[in-house]
Amino acid sequence: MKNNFIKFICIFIVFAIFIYAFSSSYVSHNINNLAYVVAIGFDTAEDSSDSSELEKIKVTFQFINTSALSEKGSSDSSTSIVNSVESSSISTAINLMNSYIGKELNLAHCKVIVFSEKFAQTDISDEIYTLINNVQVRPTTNIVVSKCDANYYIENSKPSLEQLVTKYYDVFPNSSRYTGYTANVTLGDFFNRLVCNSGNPTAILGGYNSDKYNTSSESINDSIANDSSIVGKRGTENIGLALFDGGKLVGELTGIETLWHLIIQNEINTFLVSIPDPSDNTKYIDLSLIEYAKSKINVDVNNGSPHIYLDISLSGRILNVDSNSDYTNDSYLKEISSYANSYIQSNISNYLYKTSKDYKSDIDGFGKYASKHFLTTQQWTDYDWLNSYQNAFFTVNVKSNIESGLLISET
Amino acid sequence: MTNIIFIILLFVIAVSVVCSLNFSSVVRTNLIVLPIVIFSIIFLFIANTKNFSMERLYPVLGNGFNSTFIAGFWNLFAFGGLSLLYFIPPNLKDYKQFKKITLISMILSSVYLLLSISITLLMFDSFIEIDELMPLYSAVRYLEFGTFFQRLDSVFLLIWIISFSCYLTIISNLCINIFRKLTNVKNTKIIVYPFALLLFAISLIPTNIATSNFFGLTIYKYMFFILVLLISISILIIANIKNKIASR
Repeated sequence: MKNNFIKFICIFIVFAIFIYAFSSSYVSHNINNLAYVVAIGFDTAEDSSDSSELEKIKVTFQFINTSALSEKGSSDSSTSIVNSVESSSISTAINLMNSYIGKELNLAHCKVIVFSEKFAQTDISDEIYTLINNVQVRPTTNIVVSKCDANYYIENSKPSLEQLVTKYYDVFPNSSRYTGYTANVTLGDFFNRLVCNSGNPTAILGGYNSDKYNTSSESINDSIANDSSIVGKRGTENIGLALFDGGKLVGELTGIETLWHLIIQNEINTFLVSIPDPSDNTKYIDLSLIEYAKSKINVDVNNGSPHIYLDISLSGRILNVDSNSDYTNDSYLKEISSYANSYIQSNISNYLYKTSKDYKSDIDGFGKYASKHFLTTQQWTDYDWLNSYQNAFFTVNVKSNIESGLLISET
Repeated sequence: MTNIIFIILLFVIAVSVVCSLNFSSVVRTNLIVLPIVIFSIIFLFIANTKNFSMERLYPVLGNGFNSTFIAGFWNLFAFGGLSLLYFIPPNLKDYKQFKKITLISMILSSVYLLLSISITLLMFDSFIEIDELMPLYSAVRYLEFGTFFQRLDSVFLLIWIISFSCYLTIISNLCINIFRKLTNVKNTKIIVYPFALLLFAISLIPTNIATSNFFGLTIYKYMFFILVLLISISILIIANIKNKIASR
């Protein structure tokens, strides 16, 4: 009886200690005491000309207004709030914003991190390291380089088909699986490529969407963020890819070049390619293609300069039909396949030589295939793949099989 | 932020309560937790397969033959868990099962270790250059199934906390038993609470990660080689010689 009473007192004391110990965590992490950040933007500070002061950055935070959300839905303007602050680092910016907002910032639901083009041209490695070291920021957060200010990009990323901006940020990178004009680049991917020496990082290329049709592009396939032929209600667009050398922005790819990149990476499901019609050069045939097998990559480093071999297998169907279409003719289908092979092959070669000679940036990660030829990390490091990539040669072999039209094969 | 004393106290109280019960209670608790832990690592491996790249295994020899096999010989301390096998026989009902139990334990431990290392090796290029505090936790943060099942970190942390408590309980129980046999004390309950207090006090000594790393990577390493390998092999050799002399 006495023992039971002592046990009861001990258990009670232990409970009391733990209730006291963990109650402050419950209060501080209560959903009503937190401000959820859904997007962060980085710009160069507006007045950073004084060299005696610490270099400043302008950090933009987009918050979701949880109290404005209701079962009946809400207007777009009331659910999202954008605030900016200038400071010397991300942590100081968060601290300042904490005091302004009155609630503690929580980055656990941050979907997008945006760097302006001007900011990305300086080295963003420090910011990436700081973000990846943060327990709240997910490695699956998307990285965007915006050709306009990050502040403008975030303010104007208003979804037209969804109520919530978070839903839009969740969904837009997925369009890479069926268009190929953008990519789903995450903070984790960026950091891995930044630290390793077998490839270079990339980021989604974003920009503003003007209210006029763009007539400056030579070809419809040259669409790129800030310079596309799209006119829409949303003020921003995401087409293309930003290329980095280490932490510095060195170049950008158009939408179609991003498609070639995704084909090599095996990160695309279906995509559309327009090739000249073999029977009439004034017309185009739209092909819906899928990767029949994964791209095979082989790298040979025996002769000084690396030689990269690519084998791509595609299968597709013809999308456009007119009054004189005949896609049951085997020889015609083979001719289309042959045209498609040479068209895609030459475009992929051009893209690869562009990344190698112009930008000197191995965004396709061919380095990891080259590392097989080395026994030790020291030998691999001495080879200096990232510098050797600019001397690389490419042999691209595309094999595509065009099967038929979709529903109609002959008219 | 919750004071670290309360978090350590959580583990110490759990350990002292379980150690004050029979050893069979410890075994049964582990029997419940072990399948969950093994399942969690298999799940983590399978769910992260899409992020794996076999090319990350290269270069094969890593930092070189000398660094991996000769200077790297000291890394065998990672198999320190094998020392627990020495303490199993007195607790077995049927001593003849010992060989079978040893083999099964070693196979299960090897598979678990292999899966854990494979996950970090095949997922990340960066951990060769970066010293990550919890590599498996980094792998867990990549788990996403659509937009509904995300952020499974807390589930895994809960499993790992429970498994760590189980490990701590076994180690404490073995230490208490050794002390009991050295001092010829019959009742273990009077030793449990001083040991718990001692554990609590020692866990408060490291004030930063560098001190913890020193204990874990340096002191523990040499203790493993001296106590587990050197002394046990020496005892085996001496016993063998003594046996041969006695049989003459």
